[in-house]
Amino acid sequence: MPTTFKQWFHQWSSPPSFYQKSECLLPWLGLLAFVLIATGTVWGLAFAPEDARQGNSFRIIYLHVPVAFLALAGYYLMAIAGAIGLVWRIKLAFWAMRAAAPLGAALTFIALVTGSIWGKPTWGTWWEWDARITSMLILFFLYLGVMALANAYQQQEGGLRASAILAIIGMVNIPLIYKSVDWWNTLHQGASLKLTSAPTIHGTMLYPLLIMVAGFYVLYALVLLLNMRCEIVANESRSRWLQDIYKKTEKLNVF
Amino acid sequence: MYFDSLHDLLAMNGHGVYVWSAYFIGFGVVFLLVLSPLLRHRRQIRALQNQWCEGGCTNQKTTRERK
Repeated sequence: MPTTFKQWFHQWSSPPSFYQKSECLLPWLGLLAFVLIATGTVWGLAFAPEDARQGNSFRIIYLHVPVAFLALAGYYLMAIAGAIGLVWRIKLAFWAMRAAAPLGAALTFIALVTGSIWGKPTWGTWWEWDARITSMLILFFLYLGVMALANAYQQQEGGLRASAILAIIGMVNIPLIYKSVDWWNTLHQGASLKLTSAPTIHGTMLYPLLIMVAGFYVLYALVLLLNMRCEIVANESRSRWLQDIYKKTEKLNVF
Repeated sequence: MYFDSLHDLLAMNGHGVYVWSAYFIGFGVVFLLVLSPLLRHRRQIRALQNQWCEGGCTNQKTTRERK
């Protein structure tokens, strides 16, 4: 058993050990994400009361807010992983960055689409070039940029370093997104959940939202691990340890 | 349940089409997010196993050999 943080960190940052340790987490993460998201969705769609001003269209919040949360938090994770890769040259950190990029792009895409659908009955428009929506669109392009740049170099190392730098520079956009609803006059409503103050949403509407946020955090961890395991296999295909795991197994493990 | 009937739940006072389409698209993307790395991983491992067994494996047959 690892006794110190350093030993623990060393174990998890080595690809073979990460690959094997992550495998037993996957079914639990999958189950937990499913239970939380299913509970939150049913509660939010069928049991929470409707909003006094927005009516039932507000129920989109239970999908929109959690995915937008994770799209932003995931960007930090991607940029920090890229920075760790640049500074300490840990391969696994670069692969985490690569694994986080398409996941973040997909979550940003869902946030934009659900926001757009929510905007139609609430504001009367599908799209508005205001601060919050435009900065989210920039976030989407940043994710796509990181994905494209990682593959754009002939030497993989160069691509990873370039995309890590782009990810770090792009971090300035995140506080801009958070603050856009306060700094500019925007159509978008203010934050419903804040760490620093009480939520501006009633308990009966709040609990399913918190469950959904928790569920999407777990889902994020699950998909990140799945993507990282693919990156590991792609990059370590000639390694002996990978052969040792799979060469002798007759029945293929899908994870 | 907040709604009186299943019909009310689906209609949501006219907002049903917005709410349900948002969830349909959102969960569709989430489903693909989970499924695509699972399939990719399976493809990767199958390809590697075939590659390793080109010289002939004792306990695993490639698709070619089975024919």
